[in-house]
Amino acid sequence: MNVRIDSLIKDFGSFDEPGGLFRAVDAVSLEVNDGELVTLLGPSGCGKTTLLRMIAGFEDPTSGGIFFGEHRINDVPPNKRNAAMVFQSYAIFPHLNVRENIAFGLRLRDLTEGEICERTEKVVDLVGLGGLEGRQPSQLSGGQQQRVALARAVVMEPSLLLFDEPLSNLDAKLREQMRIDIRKLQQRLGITSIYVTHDQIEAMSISDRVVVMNRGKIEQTGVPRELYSRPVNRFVASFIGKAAFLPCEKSAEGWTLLGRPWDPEAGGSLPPGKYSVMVRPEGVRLAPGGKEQRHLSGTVLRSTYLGSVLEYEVELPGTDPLTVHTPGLSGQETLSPGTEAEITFIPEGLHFLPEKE
Amino acid sequence: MGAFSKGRREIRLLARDPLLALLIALLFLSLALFVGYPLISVLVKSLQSEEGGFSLANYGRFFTFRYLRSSLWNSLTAGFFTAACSVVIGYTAAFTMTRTSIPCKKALHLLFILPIISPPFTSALSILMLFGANGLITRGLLGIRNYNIYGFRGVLLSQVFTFAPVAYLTLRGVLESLNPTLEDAAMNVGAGRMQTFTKVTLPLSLPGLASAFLVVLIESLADFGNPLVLAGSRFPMLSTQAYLEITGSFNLPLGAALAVVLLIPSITSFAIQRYYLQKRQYTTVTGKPTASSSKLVSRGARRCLFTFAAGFSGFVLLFYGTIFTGAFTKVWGYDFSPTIAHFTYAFSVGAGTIRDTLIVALCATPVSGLLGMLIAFLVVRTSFPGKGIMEFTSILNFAVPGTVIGIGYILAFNRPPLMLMGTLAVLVLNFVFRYIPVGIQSGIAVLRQIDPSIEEAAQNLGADRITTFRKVTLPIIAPAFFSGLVFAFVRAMTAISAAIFLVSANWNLLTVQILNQVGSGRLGVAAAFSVILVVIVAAAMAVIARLVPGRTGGMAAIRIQED
Repeated sequence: MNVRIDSLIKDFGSFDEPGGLFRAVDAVSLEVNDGELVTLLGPSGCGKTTLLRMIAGFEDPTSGGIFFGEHRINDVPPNKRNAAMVFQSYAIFPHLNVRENIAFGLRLRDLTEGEICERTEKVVDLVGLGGLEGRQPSQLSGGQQQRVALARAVVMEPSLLLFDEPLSNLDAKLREQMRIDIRKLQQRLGITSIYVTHDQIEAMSISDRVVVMNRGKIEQTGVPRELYSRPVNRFVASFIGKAAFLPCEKSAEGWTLLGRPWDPEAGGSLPPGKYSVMVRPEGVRLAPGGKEQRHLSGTVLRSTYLGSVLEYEVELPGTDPLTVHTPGLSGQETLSPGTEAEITFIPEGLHFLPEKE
Repeated sequence: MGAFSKGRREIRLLARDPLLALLIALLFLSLALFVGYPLISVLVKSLQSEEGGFSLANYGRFFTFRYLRSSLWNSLTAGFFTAACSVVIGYTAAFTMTRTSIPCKKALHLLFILPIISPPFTSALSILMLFGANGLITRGLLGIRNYNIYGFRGVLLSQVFTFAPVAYLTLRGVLESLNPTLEDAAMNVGAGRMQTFTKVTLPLSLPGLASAFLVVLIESLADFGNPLVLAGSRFPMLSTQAYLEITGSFNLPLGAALAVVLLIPSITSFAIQRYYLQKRQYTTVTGKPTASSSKLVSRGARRCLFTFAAGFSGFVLLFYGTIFTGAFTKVWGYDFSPTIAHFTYAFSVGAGTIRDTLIVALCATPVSGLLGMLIAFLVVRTSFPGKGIMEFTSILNFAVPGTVIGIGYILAFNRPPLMLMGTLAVLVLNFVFRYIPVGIQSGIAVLRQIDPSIEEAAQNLGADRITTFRKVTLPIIAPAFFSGLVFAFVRAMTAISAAIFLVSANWNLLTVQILNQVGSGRLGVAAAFSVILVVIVAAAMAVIARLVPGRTGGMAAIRIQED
């Protein structure tokens, strides 16, 4: 089932209340295709959870439409939407054991006891909860509770799965494992899914497409690679990964960077004008020495060994410090703080953002 | 402006749900009738002269009559010392139970809280039997003739015994919610045991201590049974004096004025406790119980604390043993040969009373429990104009002494339009509205702790609002509901202060019967009635414990709502 969201607006409060009017979701439109996993990514307060809760039916939109397939479901109560949700706090029923929790929704439908048992058992195996069916929620670890919440949603065979920051209460290792498990399960069952998170790595690794939100609006929608290498603005660029922005300009004579002539070997098709060039840490090369005029050079401020990479912070005259990653196993000697270094950019890593006048 | 438009929106929302609106209106009406109206009647009556005109003469009598002045002073001093002693005992006991590993914890805990479930003057009766003129200890063991236990000493001893368990329960909650890692942290940076206690544990429990002090002060001021048995004529106290003015001298206006004077310190303490102290408690709510550190207490200290705990439990055993033995003893103090004559007598004169008491309690308990949960649910999960007023009115009765309520009911319901005196209804209504506060408080606490997404999850899985309430909310709040029921039942069985004004030839209560027997010197019969009462209460608690859905272990998993 595909999901379509059409100019959705959600206001909280009103003008004559002390807190005033707050627009949590501001004219958001979005299409989620059948079987696709789309992630809503953004900082806290960006409206991603409100959007998800409107899709689930827990909040009424102020205006706009939500369509499941061809049906407008704005006025369908949450219990009739068949859009199963995995909650951030898991929301496991504390008075029911694992099996009863998973079967809760099935029992509200017209199913025989046999069917309920069969489907519950199948899902228990699917999420790896075998042997724990009789446990009370209080006897489960965080990861197991997470699996119960997932099983309880999946067993409904919903037409849409909703995830509200499901992994935020787990430790890093478990989070990675669950991420992989959720993605595998979702692809195997082919259920259209909407996933909310503020963790960019989680978003990149789990999604078919990512929607970056900020202040109630969508900043950019795209596949993870596109968001990383071709962000439409500084917000998206710095929310996903590290990035530095250097002022540059294109004129009839060619490019200038920080006021010096420059050949980026990229951006040939761009019209003349002022730009910011986005530089990712892994798109920069450092070499010792380099007082020559034709090269850009900077001073190493500090270096940090991170195992897989060696991270430098380099001061450039006239702009913010630049973060540079070089491979940790490169065999190169580490540049000590204070060293002058020659800076070159990998052309494929450069991305130009037009500077507003 | 903002508040006004908020109210308008709330009314509009209510208009969409007429059933809910009707329910709220009915609740407001009944709270006004059975909580507000009696209180206002007392106030109005106290400002009337005996002829019926407006006058301040009743309050003026405090300046002319010494016994009125001293009754106020006596009530306050007894209350103050009772509260101080109870808090010290309660805190020591709570500290022992939460911070040390001593043997028989469970048994000690049960003994500590036993006085809470017995009639409030059981201890008064035991004290008479142990320390009275013919007391087992004073006369039997020590050979003192005509030892006078009546007055300040007796009241203090009896009240401390009755209310220290209340302080214990409150302070145990406080100490349990103080994160023990704070103490570990203090010791980790080099504080000794004593320093850790005086610089960390004690300061952090101060708001809780003050709160427990005020709660006991309120209960002591409101106490009726102990003063009536033990105060004696030379030590008048407000609550009993108000009763005597009304039943002895038929001076209703003066009785009402005494009630109002009694109300002032009670309400003041209540207001401080609720609106000032409760916000200042340093509780660290983590949702999961933290293991308590037992390194805080040295072995010597632990031995002292255990001795103390065992000592207090010993007193409880002694007091209850006395009652029990007394019920089976011919003439206490003279002839200790065993007999069941007191029980035969009790059943022959008191069978009707036992039946009445049970009927009243069985009528009042479920109504009180349901009403408490309903109000708690409305307060937490809905919004309507006047919600704060409803919450306040419904828990106000916790602070109002029973004597005041009793006088209020006489004044309000002994005349048209509501002529209820002498009926079953007046007793039931009085109990219902007096004992809902505890049900409401525990209901509110539990409902606030239920993560709203648990209810959303049920809806998300296909349950409508009613199914959600029935299959999710209700089972989760059931334990609180049933403990509210137990409390209401115990109180309805053991209450005396308001009830003594409301009993009649048609409907009498066991507690009043016990007091009458004590008054006429038949201690054995009084003891027999007390044993019967305690047995009924214990049996009822066992039955309710059976009825409670077994799987309440899930309660621990209720996640404390974030933020």
